[in-house]
Amino acid sequence: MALNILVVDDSKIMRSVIIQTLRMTGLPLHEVREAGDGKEGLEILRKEWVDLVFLDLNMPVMGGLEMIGHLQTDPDLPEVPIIVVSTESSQTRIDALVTNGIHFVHKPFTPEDVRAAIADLIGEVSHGDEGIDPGVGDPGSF
Amino acid sequence: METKESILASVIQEVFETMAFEVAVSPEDAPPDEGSHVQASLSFEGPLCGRVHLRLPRSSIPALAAQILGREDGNPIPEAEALDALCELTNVMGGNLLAAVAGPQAVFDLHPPTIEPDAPPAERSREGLSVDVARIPFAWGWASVYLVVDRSPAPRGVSVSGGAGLAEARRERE
Repeated sequence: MALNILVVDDSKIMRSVIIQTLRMTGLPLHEVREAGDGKEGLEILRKEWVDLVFLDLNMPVMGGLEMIGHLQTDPDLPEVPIIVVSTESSQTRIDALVTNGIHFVHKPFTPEDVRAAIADLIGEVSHGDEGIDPGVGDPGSF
Repeated sequence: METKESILASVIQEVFETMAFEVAVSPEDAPPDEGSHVQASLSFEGPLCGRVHLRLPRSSIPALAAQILGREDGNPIPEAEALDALCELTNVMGGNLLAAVAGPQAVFDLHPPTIEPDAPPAERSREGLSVDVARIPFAWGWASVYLVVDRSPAPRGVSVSGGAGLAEARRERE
């Protein structure tokens, strides 16, 4: 089944890079939506079905951690797998994310890095899959 | 033991290869490092304080930006967008450089990169300032990265937003 993906990053450049890399993974993509900050991201999640979110941490208006907080506490928001994409290099900060069930991909990333993170999070996805059972895979500790 | 220059060189090559699909060439295969240059700079605070500068030939920017953005249609990329791509490259490079130099437990705050369109070569080492440089040859010219570390402690009361978002940089430029 083709994936519906949301890319949340205040940098239009980085959103392009993530989307380009997603295309290079060879994974089936249906719709890729973009948001410039966490608030826009949440608005999209309230209205559209999304299989996976790629999320930056440092953004204006609402950052990545605050967006994750809303997803964890607001019952009207869907449980959705999240991959944080960041230049964050502090192992302390990364460990804190991983402990909370957040998957992390460090910039710069290759298509292989992204594909492995997606497989780790939601299982292998290939063309012709019946679909993603929301109960399959670990969407994180939301 | 790895020198800081070799660490810088290794990070530069990894970032260029992964983000821009550019592989270093032999020095003799790179054009001379002359002509107009553009420099992207960011400042950082943490266990070390200072700046990272990435200096590139101006002529290389459009093609590099096209590769970073995955634009294969041959249409020219607006200069502002190309410079944003350079800033993003610098942002990623800065984060990786600092982790490589200071170790994975170090916590840094990086400020959004800014562009200096006609930058002269960056700072030189002097008392109170340490400058490490790496220059990598590519088919389009030389990429120079300067890691500038202030040897004096950061002033007290410095408040850092902790972000390196380009939106913030654009607001600061306007």
